[in-house]
Amino acid sequence: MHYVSILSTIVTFFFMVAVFNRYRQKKGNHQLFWGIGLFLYAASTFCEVILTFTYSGLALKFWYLNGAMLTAAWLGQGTVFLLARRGGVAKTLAGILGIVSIAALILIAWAPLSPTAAATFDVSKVASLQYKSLMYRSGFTIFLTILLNTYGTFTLVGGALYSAYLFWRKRVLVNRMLGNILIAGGAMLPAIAGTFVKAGLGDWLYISECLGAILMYWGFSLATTTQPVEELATATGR
Amino acid sequence: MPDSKRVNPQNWAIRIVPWLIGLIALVLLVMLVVLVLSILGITPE
Repeated sequence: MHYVSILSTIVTFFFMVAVFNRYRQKKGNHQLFWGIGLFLYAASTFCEVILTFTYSGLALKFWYLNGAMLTAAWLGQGTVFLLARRGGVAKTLAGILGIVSIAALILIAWAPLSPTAAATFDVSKVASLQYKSLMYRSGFTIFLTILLNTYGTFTLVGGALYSAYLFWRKRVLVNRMLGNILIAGGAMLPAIAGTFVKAGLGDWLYISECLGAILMYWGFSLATTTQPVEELATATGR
Repeated sequence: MPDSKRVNPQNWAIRIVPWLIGLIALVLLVMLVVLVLSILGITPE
């Protein structure tokens, strides 16, 4: 079941390349932060791939840092850049995110691993079911994880829903309307999976990461595709 | 806004999008409530 993380890594890698390509062509901080967020996403799922085959303390730490702490927040920060363009709000929040991310990196780098981790790690089980007994997380680390995920999920999902609503209200650009819905739905999936992990259903995290990446990539592709000309409704008399 | 970008009001997307927005927003709200409850220690981790 957890070999699905290989597919997640491939999908997320191509998604990241597509976003960075768009950043190269069109610029915009939102594309840059989304690209970095997707790099963190791909790095996290790649660590899952490593942990599928063998135990590595470094992979476990990078998996937690990238996947559990940073990915959602950096993706969400991209949406903040897209929607909050006045008064330097986005830049201030990006600065805070940068500082918090460095703090997270230091905390995880210094987090002690269980001395028996290598012996007790079971490659047949997903890392999300085992990490709590393998790596010590301080209360502050857990607090930062909750803070970063809450910020990331609400900005990414909320921003996509808000964008979809704006297009819907104006009755324009159906591709962006649906693209944003797919992005919101895709971003929700890994967030929901956190609840499944708490319930002991760790496999669902890997599946939801894969489905989430596919949905977001689909949504991004749809939203950035040039829409064909549509005929107006005859009901409007146009 | 050029007319070519306008959506037919009878388009299925126009009908379904509000429901999808509402559904995802509802799930997001439930997640927020669960998060707050777990922080308050009302539900076990």
